[in-house]
Amino acid sequence: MNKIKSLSDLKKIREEQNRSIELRSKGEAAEKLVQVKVAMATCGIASGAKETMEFLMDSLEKRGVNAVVTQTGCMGYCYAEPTIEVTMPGKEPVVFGNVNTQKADEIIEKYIKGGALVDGIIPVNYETIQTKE
Amino acid sequence: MKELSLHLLDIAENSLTAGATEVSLGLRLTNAGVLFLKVQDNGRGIDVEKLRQIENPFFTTRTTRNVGLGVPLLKQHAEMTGGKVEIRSNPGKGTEITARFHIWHPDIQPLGDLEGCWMLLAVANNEANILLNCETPGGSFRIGSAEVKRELELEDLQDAEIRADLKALIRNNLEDIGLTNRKIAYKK
Repeated sequence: MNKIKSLSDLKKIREEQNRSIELRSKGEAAEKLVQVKVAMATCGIASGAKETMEFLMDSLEKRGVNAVVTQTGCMGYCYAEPTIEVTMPGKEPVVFGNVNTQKADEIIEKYIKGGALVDGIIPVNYETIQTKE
Repeated sequence: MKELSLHLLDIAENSLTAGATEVSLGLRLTNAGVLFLKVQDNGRGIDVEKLRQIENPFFTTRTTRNVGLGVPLLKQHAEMTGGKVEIRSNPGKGTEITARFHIWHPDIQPLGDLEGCWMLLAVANNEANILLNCETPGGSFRIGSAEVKRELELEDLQDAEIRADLKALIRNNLEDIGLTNRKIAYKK
């Protein structure tokens, strides 16, 4: 296969292979999707949030989870980065700390797919770095 | 922060937090081996008082913590190679941060996964136009997320195959103009 060098190359390849994309319709309500926010401030990025976010985007799609992955700023848990916030449809958001790719894998399998709680949850009333002594 | 591209990702995150709808990641390499990394946005900008303190690691506008390390780290890494950081901001119009590096300095960080950083920003900020502009003595390359979605008739760039193809497209073009991780970072 020739190297993809331009958007027209990419368009052509997709047409040749007749690849279609399962588009999320604009009307699809966000509350029906699993929403994952990855904290991507300096503390998160320096701790490996980029790898965690790439893993989450790839793995959720591969495992057929209807999810949307976005980024957010610092949530104040700099000592527990990378941190992610997962909101299951109809449930309260849950924040997990120290989420490397291994932990992210566990969160997908056990919490998102299985509905079971896993280690690493940061309680909502927990101290942020601002209040921690 | 272990790679130059992670600095771009970090500064761009600040731009998006500041309400930018267009963020340009720029990289320019001169014949003399000077590398300019630039993040330019149309966000809310920074007023003079805050601009004066932006290089202070113990200053931040956030309320979640007491430190703001993004710009100070970028400055430190630029200065380690004999370079510097310049910031221009126009409140209400946007901000431009430029870091200058000398690529033959042994302390320069590797370029890292530039295409991956652009991809993450483009996927995670679907409403914003994320641009990547690269220029070297070997040529130039430019891509923008709004243009990609328009050309490929997509609503977003979440699809894994699209992401993989776009990363390959960017990687191939960067290699053509001499921007590979190994070439930009001189290591003995």
